Order: sequence, then C-alpha cells, then structure tokens
Amino acid sequence: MAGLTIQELWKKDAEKCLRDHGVNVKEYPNKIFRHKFFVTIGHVYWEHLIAMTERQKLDDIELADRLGLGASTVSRWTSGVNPPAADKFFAVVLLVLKRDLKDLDIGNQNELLFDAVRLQHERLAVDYYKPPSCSLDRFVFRLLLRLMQIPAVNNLAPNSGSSKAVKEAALKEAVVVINKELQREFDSRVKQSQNVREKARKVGPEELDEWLACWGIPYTLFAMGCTRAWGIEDV
Amino acid sequence: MSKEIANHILDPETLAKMNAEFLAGEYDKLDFPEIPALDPASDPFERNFEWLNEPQGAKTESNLSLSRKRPEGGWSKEAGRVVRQLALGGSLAGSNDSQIFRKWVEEGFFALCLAAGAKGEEALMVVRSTEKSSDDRVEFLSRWLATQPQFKQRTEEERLTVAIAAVEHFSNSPP
Repeated sequence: MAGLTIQELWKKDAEKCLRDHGVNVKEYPNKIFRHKFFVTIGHVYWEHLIAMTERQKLDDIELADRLGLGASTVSRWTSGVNPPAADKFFAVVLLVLKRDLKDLDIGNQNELLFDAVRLQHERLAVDYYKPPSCSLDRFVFRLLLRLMQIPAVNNLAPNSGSSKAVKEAALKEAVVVINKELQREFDSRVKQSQNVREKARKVGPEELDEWLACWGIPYTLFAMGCTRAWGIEDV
Repeated sequence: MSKEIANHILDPETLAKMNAEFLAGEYDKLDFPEIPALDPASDPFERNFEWLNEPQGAKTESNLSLSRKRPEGGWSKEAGRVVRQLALGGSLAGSNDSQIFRKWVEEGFFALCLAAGAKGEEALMVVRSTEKSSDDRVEFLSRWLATQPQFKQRTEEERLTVAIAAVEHFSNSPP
C-alpha cells in the first residue's frame, strides 16, 4: 500500500537538497532518515519526561545529583540540544522518578507522535533546506497532506520550471479546493453539533504559499523516509 | 520562526494581488473539478486521522480562552518552546525552555518593546501593571505581539501562550 503522497517535482527538489548536502539519495530512507527520526522520537519522550521531573520541582542540579552525574552533563540533556540516549531515560525513570513505566504520565501516543512528526519536519527543514518562517501545527500538517494530493501543486515545487502564470493558477486552484473542503468539513461538524459558534476557517493564497514554501520540501523528505507500516497516514 | 521575512514561492506582488482577489470574494466564484485523493487511504479529509485531531480540551484558534489549562511544565516552558523556535539555531541554544523564556522576557522582550516606540512602552507598562487584571494584561499583550514581525507568523495560541507566560513572569517578579 502507498505511504504518504509524494509529488514528482517536489521529490526532485528534495533529492537535490539531499545531494547538495552530500547525502546519498538511495541510502537516505534506510540509513539516514530512520536513524534521525528515531532519535527525534527519543527526544520527544525525553522532553515529556523532563516536564514530569519539573512538575516534581526537580531542576537540573537536583536531577544530576540524584543520578550521580555532573550538572553540566544533565544541563546539556535538558536543554534539548543534546538529548540523551534511551538508557538515560530509563535511569531517570527508575532512579529519580522511581516509577513503574506504566505509571508514567508523559502524554498519550497521539500527542507524542505529532510532536515527533513536527520536530522531525523542523529538523529536516534546517538540515537540508532552509529554516521555516512559520510553524507547523496540526492544522497546517493536515492541509499539507491534502495539498500534496492535488496534482496542480506539483507545479509549485520551487524548481519545477513552471512559469509564474502556471504557478499562480496552481496556487489559485489549491486555495479554492482547500477552502471548499474546509467549508464542507465545517458544515458536517455543524450538522453533528449545535454548539459550533465559530466560522469555518478560510485559508488565503499568501498563507498557503508560505506553508508550501516552508514545509513542502521537509514534508517530501519526511514522506520519502516513512514506511507505510508506521501508520503515520492513519493511526 | 527564526526569520522575520516569510518564505514564499510566488513573488510578493503576485501574492498581494491574489490575496486582494481572495478577500474580495472572487475565489468564491471559482469552481474546479472535484479532486479525488491520489491515494484514498491517505486522504486526511476522508479518513479519521485520530493522531491529528487537536488534543481533547485544546482550544481552536477561533475559540481561545484565557483560562486555558496550565500546560505540563508550566507556561514558561511552553512559551520557551515558541521563543526557541524564533531563535532557531541562535544564541539561546544550550538552555532549557524555561530558562530561554526567562532570558528572552528579561532581555529580548524588553528590547522589542523599546524598539517599538510608544506602543511598545505601553505594552511594557501594561504587562507589568499591578492595577489591571491578569486577563486584561494577557489579552493586551497577545494583541500587541500580533503586530510585531517576529510574532506575526505564529499562531494566535502561541502568542497567547507567550503573553500568559510573560504576565506570570512579571507577576512573580515585580519591578
């Protein structure tokens, strides 16, 4: 079964980004992306665990003390810049928090998964493309998934070679299609609940253009590395 | 995020023209044939993407409330994440989120207010005020942040998070 949708011209651009950074495109999914994504998942779990220690009023120094490690080492971990490997996670659970794994209150699977997907997109953007100018929230990511299923969006790939007129027409089509679907989704929500007071959210061309400019390549790099079995498409 | 200039595919003039047409309702008259999902199994509008649903209790952008549940780790940690993203790869690396926020609110935010002239000074005065209610201060600051280039691209929820954390910070450490 197919995984996340990948548009051909976006893929070409994404592959060029990899090559520009000295990455072997064939090896990228198995040897690079997966390792990085698993590290990101570990990082997300770690951040949630640190939030738990903070709720117990433990700062870096206290945490280091209890682990018998130097404060600077632990400070590097908790900063999120160099999160520790999984063994330190278990050490904190067992020796500092003194909890059973099943009693850990570190967020549910859905929250952790989205945090990992978002963080991975941010890292792919910075590592292989360019720092994004807007954030990736659930709404933007859902739209990104749908946008990449609209054939015209292929022409919006940065180096697609499409003329300005073609790009303009593609963006216009994407805006119309997306807003129609948002309205339809909103109408069905209204039908189900009488308490919906807000209006359907509308997405303008400038907004959509920025989302694609920031996240189109990172999304494609992400999709190139994902396997269907993970169920990123439908958990 | 780290850049004040937004990334775009099309040029600013074309986007401005398209945006004006969109706001004038011209796009409402356009109709494109239904586009089926290339892979129906991964159509986010047809399938139930449980993991992409907003967490229970979370507010949507159009339904924000100042009385949101305190996030795990506190507001400063949550706001620190936003500030960290604004300074992606910058000099703030190496601190935890709460420390980053504290540093930013005491230095970066201060500089931002001063650079913004009278309006910025007013924002600083309001956020440190002991006479106004916390909700009023948060609401004022959140609205003011929305006018600042660094924060324009952030979601309303993120601006609100930063505003709540800033008000909390100044309430706990009055001048």
